[in-house]
Amino acid sequence: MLTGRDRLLAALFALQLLAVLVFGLVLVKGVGGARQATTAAQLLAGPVVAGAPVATAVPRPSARPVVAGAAVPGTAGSSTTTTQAGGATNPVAGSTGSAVVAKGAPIKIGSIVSQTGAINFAASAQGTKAYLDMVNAQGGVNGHQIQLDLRDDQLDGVRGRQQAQQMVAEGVFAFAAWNAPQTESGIVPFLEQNKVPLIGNYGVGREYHSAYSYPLQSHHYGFEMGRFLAQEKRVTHPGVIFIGGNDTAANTAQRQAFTAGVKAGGKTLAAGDILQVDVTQVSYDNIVTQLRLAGVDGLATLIDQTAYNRLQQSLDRQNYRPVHVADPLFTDPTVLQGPTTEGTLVASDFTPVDYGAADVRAYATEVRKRFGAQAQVSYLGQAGWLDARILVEALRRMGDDLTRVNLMRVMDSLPASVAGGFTAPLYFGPGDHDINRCLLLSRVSGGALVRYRGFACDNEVFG
Amino acid sequence: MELYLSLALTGLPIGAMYALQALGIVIVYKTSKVFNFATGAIGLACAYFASSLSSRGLPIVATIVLAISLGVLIGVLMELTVRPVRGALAGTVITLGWLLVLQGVVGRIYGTQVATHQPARLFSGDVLIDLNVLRYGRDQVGVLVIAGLLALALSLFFRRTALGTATRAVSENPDAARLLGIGVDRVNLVAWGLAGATSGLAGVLVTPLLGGLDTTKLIVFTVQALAAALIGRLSSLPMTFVGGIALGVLQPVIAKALQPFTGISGTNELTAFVVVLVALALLRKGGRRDVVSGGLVPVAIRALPRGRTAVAAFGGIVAAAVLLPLLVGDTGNLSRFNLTQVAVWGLATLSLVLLIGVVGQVSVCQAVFMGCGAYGAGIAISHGVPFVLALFVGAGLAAAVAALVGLPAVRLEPLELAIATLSLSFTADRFLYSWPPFASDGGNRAVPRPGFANLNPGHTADGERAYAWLAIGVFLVACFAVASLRRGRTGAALTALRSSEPATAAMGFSVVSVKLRGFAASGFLAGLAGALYAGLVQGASGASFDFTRSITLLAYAVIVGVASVPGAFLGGVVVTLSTLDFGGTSDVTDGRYTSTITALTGALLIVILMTSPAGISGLVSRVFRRTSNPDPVAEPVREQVLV
Repeated sequence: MLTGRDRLLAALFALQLLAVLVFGLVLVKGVGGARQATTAAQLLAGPVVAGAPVATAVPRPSARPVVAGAAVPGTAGSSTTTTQAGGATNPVAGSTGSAVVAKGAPIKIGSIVSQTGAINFAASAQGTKAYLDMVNAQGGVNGHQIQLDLRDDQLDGVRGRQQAQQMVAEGVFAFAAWNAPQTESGIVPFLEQNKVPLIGNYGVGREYHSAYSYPLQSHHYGFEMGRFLAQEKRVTHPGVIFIGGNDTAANTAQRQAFTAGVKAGGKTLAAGDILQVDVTQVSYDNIVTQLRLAGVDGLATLIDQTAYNRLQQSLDRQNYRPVHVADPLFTDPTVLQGPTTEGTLVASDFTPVDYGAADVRAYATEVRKRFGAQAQVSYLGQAGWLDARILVEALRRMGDDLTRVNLMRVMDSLPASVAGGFTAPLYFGPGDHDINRCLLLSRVSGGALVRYRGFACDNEVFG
Repeated sequence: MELYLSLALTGLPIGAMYALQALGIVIVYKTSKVFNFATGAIGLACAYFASSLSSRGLPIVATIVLAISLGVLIGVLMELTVRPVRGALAGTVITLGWLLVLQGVVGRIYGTQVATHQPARLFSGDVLIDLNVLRYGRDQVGVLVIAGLLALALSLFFRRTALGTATRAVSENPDAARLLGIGVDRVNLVAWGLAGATSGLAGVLVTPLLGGLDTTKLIVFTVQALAAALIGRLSSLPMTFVGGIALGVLQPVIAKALQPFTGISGTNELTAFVVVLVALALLRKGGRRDVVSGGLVPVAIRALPRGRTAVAAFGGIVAAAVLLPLLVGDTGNLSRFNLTQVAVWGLATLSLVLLIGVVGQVSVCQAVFMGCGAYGAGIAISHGVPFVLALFVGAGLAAAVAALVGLPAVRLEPLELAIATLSLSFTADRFLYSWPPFASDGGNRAVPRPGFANLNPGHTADGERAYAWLAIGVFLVACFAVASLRRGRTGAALTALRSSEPATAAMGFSVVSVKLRGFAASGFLAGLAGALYAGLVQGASGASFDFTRSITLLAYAVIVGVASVPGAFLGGVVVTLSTLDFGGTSDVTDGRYTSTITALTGALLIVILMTSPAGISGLVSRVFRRTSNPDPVAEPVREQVLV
């Protein structure tokens, strides 16, 4: 016979099983079912049809040579892809990258943003969400509502890849507004294989060199920050701190960019004065001590928000005041500002919120309205907003020809002024997508950013 | 020289942080022989609590008193959950459950966004000491002094007070202490409360030095705290303080020395890991494995069923394996992709069933073996090795690494091995996956699918279906292999090993060899799971195989039952459910959903260990046996998995 304790245990087990069962049912029937139902409804309405032939041919979006047999993307026919010598796939004849959206049906957009984890970009997701909600509230784009499928890759590259795969299976028309560096680092082959464009992304590795990827954040931070630093007359001995990633080649490229930038500014950056740190760097006392003992009097830093708080603590403690050129994360609301941060120079590819430009003010207002006390108005939020804005602008210009190939064609022909006062003129065109080439320099004054140098553009260095 | 001296001095306050966290570990170990892996999580919870109190305008002293009180409360609750469990290793695994609970609860309440909460500050950052080459702030000196004084005070408490003496008596021999009239439970409760208070104080003091708060803070210092505690031989509090300081001083010097090798990252964790290994090798007491030390009693994997029932069951399983990938689609949560995930995570759980259930060792680094398999397969494919062969190359690499890890296992106590493997998990997170031979393309390693399972446009469904069959097939074969372990020479050796190591040796088996083979086989299965997972998502990244994954895998294996091959399937289902992506879809998320899952996993782990150490499957079989065989005399010997 069962004892009382066993009965208790059996009851507990039954409860556990019931919980798992309910949990599973909710997953499968609830969330999964809802998602499938949406897809089915869309299919009934005919919004997304993958593989439908498109008569429109567009110019080859890359100026680079392709292997023999390569032709024009979007031409109906076979669905083969070819690989370049460098390993990148190029769109060729008869790609299936021609998903279309039926008249009046919602346009499904897939977005992956690292929203949880040691480093996160939730502010970017807020910016994107706020912009698209605003557009939808105003009636959508050419009669289409925009349906945002927003995922959190939790800073896990393969999790993000899985999410991208799932979103393609579920029929997204395009990807947009990504801020997921781990996922993006290996996503280009996936985009090219599935022929899905990505409009607006953080910009990692090959993303600047694919016809399917449109990074709207600048690739030129290392060079321009180095040049800005060297142009400061007070600086005689420049130094650099940057957070290194797992990609050795990318780290080397970053060192080279800083070195080239400092050289362009007329000074020299010694290899030993470029300090690469881990994202988990607990204290910057050792880094600051090294630079101080080396006599560095000008410092460019490309690090994250948490690192800025730790670095500033060390700078204050050691009373070490080099000329400091920081990246825009220095102005993130989570970075503490005080008397000692006054005078810090901040490089940015977006017009800072503090400048009060109408376009940027609209972003801040809308995000605060949408998210209330949870609103995060910041550089990262601006990035998400701008990504969504450029996407919507392209969709508007596409008219009724809502196909992926047309989206890429329109993107490649957007005017430089499309971002308004949000950033410097953008460079759209086929081939490598070095879209955002300019950075401006602000100075922290009274806790806010004021103009220091106008946009400087780097049209030469593009690694 | 001046530079290196200055760098060493910068490590003093950091070392004090490690020491503060390590003190909580040593206090608990001194009394209950349980290794408290949740000490950083207690500090984290208290730091967040202090932050929220401080932001409401509460005076800092009152804030700290309340935060420490929370630490005491958590410590007491932990003791109450550890108390009913027999054995230090089970208690240690429960502390892993608490780690998940606390991290999850903090994330649930405060969200997981970085630096959105400012820590409460007892000391300002103003300069207090100026050494010319270096200045120390009041906050740094405060941590240094308080850590030193606390180590001294606690040491005196344990030596000079009646309660301290009682604590030592309980630590030496709880049964004898009980006979002498010492309230063992009360003493343990006091020790855990004291440890909770220390960890809480550490959290409040340390977080201001680290910038804003986030839910991974302090927990990532666990490996450093482990190293400091081991330098103190898990008993001497002053030596633990010295160990923390030594490690803090050593790390920036080593980092500077390795600076020219720009491809290397995670040098701090690597340094701590080496210290852990050296300390375990030099300072350990001996290789006994008994109830007091918290050894595992392995359990027999049940024999495969025979006769018609077996044929029917086998036919049903094969039919399900063949039909399921045909019946489900590629969208929603019930998809071929997730079907494959069940097989992959089931295989990973099976590797733990083999290691814990059969060999009798605990690994908190199973995700590292998976990572080795994934990266190994990717490297092999990049050299032109066909996919299926590459799976085995990856699994082979994982088996080799597992055997290396297993080498000390033959000499270490299981609890020590758990410490070593957890340290490896933390180190792999920061070092191994970033190591240039492993990583490529932004730290990820491409693992393209084989031609028959490719996902080219128009072939997605076929590709997913073929891959699902491959993964399910591998999982079933592995299940069959593990369940067949009872047969043959290896089965005989494992059976002998379960009874007695000396008897095993007397029978002509090499204990070392049997254990190593067990470790390697477990690593092979985990590596195979990792390689299959990498093929599923077409890439390997460290984030998929981080220390949290190792902990949760162990948690899920214990929850479903480490003695059960079918339990591995249940493990696959549970892990897959935990990875599904519903909470954050289509809206901005602040991590509260993920945190809830984490907390629930930890809570379930604790409840299972307290009520049914054999896990859900053990409970099922027990209830089934009781129901079908009501005669208590005929009842088989009760399983004791974690003793």
